Amino acid sequence: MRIEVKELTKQFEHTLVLDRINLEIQEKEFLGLLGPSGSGKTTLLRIIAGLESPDGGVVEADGRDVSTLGFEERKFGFVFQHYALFNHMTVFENVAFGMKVRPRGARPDKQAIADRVKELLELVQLGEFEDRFPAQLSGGQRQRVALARTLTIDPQVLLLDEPFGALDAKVRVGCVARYAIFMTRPGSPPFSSLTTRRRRSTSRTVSRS
Amino acid sequence: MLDHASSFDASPAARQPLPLTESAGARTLLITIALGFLLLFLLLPLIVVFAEVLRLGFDSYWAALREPEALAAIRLTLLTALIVVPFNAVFGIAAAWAITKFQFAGQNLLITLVDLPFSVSPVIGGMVFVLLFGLQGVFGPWLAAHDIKIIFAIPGVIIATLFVTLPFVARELIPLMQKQGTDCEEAALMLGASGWQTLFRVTLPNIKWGLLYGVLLCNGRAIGEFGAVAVVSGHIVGHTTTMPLYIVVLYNDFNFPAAFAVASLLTLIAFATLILRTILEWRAEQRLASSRLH
Amino acid sequence: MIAGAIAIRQRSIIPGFGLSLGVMLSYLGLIVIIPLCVLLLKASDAGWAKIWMELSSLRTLAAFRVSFGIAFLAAAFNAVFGFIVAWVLVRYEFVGRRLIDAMIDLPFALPTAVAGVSLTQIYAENGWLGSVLAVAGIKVAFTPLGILVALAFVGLPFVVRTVQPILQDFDREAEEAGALLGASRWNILRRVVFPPLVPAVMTGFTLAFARGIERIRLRHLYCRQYARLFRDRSAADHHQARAVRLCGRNRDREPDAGGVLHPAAHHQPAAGMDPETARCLTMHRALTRVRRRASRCR
Repeated sequence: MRIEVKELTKQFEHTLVLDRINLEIQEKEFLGLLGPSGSGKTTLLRIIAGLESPDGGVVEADGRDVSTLGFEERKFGFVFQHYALFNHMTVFENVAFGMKVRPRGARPDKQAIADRVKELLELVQLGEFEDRFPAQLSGGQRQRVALARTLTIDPQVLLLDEPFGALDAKVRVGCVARYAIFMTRPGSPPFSSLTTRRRRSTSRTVSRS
Repeated sequence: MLDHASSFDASPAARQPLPLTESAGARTLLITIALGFLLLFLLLPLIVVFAEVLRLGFDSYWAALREPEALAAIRLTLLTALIVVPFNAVFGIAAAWAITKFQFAGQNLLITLVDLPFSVSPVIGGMVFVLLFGLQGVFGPWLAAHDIKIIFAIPGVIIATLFVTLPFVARELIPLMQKQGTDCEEAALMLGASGWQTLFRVTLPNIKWGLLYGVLLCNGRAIGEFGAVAVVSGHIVGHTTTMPLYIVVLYNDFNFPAAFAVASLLTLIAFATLILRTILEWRAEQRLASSRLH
Repeated sequence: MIAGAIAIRQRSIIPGFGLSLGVMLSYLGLIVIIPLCVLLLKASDAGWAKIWMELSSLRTLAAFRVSFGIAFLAAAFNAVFGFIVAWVLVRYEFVGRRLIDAMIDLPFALPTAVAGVSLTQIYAENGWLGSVLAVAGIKVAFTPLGILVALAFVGLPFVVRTVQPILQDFDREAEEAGALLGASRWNILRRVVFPPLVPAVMTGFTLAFARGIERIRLRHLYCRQYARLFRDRSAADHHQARAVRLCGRNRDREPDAGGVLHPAAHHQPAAGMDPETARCLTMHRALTRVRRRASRCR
């Protein structure tokens, strides 16, 4: 899916956070947004995701205005900076959530859900952590659960808000490397992704930043 | 590198620990004062209630409680709680959702309105409904024409209690949900959940302890409310007296044994509420502690 | 108004704004806003001048003065001891701490009726503590002191529960920094720990004070009755039985349309009647008055 941001403007109180931003994300591209805190990266990401609405401008996906698209057509995956895992659910239930809340007709059966969850957890190398709660996981592990959770909806675009920001430096380097391998390995799902970071350390892995 | 023997001489000052807490003597004194104060002002009234009841003897105790008027009072109290608590719980959830998940003008005004019954005297609360629904009230003639009794009847008691206990659940939930933010709800919505699914699968489990606590407080107050109900009910014994009202009526009639019998029931309910709360908090802490591996 | 609010708020993905705001506003409107508006309207009907005269009449002022004074003292008392209790509960470990912590909410859960009734029992002259205090010449029940005690009970949780969360979240590192800089324990407490707690104590004090004022009004309703009828409890039990027997023939009288038994002429103690009977009749008369007043409580 191709994303186009045209003349996007957003104002909070008296601060102009986004001033006629133009951006293009090609198919299967891994794009990184660099910038210091407060420069509006998260805001831009949230507007693209549909979590907030712009004051001016438009976001288009494959030529169509994103705000007119329903959830099924949009399918943007979003990984929050602090992961926003559901603390009262196990890892398994977190990842299964996206499938369990689908309308009755489109919902896969229990076995199908279980299979898919296991498959995704293996993908992020958290296979044995099914029954743990988020509070029992490390930061890096939680991040992987958040990623796996997003993948259950088969997203066409993956939006990652400072995904490595909450991790300490050593863990971060390992995560970045792992993520790069994950995104570029053959057979990975065909999605584009957009990520925001504050530091240049991760910029080496993105195709464009 | 450093010559330890000379740098760290063993002076008394160096050997003393840092004053990170009060001395043992001061601690004991403070604990004694606190416990003494609590014993005198908190526990003694309760001990008295049960001492009087014990003095009564089991048979008189039961007889006092089985009086038809006592049973009516108990029934009315329970009915009131059964209606008031769920309504106010739903209101609390709706109010907290509206205030904490969105940003809009007038939020603080709404919070003040929600707190209003809390800061207004219950007597005023009762009087307000008398002015509204009483015989000379705004709707009085209309109600009389349709033969609907609110004041000096059960509906009035329930409405007055609704007014007084309105804020309890909301006041617990609003700060809690403000602290939790909107991240989890947004994540659920991004994963395709509908609004109701998000509410029931994500939000409610997150706030369950706060909700339970608010419900317990609301329940306690609904059962024990005196001022507003006194004004609105007319003290019609056997019909519109709740348990707190009935206790005072009995007391005024010199029927101390019966008064203390009913009072002991209320005290037991209060105790049960508190013990329940303690258990809930204890289990929540346990769960939190056991799930922390780091 | 709801549409306006929806327009004003920042649009976001979270649904349910209209529904939740609608439920909230209609509930609030029905139960809080409309009734209070009616109250204000009716009050203005009666004329603000009349209300002001009522409020400023000497008796009301005196009542207010008593109310404010006692409530203030009780709240101050609660502020001091409540702070100590909060401190002890948060900072120290001892047997039964959790249970005691839960019991702090008892005045909330326990209806004022029960509290009032049992406090009267304790502090009346022949009560548990009352008899002890009477030896020292201190009267508690039905005096301002008694009201003070009752208010102390009622306001107890306010200060404790406002201070506790602040204490719990307090950054111990600030204390450690103070200690490392060489301050004594008392200095650390005085300069580092207490200042941030003052607002919380003040808030608790205000809440307890407000609660106290309104509780006093309730006490006024019943205090005078208690005082007159309760001077000697066991004698009262005895006299009531006698009163019922002696004045029994009045039980057959029909109450009037208002449901009230009027004290008839023959209730006056006749000359030559023995003092005990006279006293019992006085008691019975007072008892009837109480019943009448209670049933007319509007």
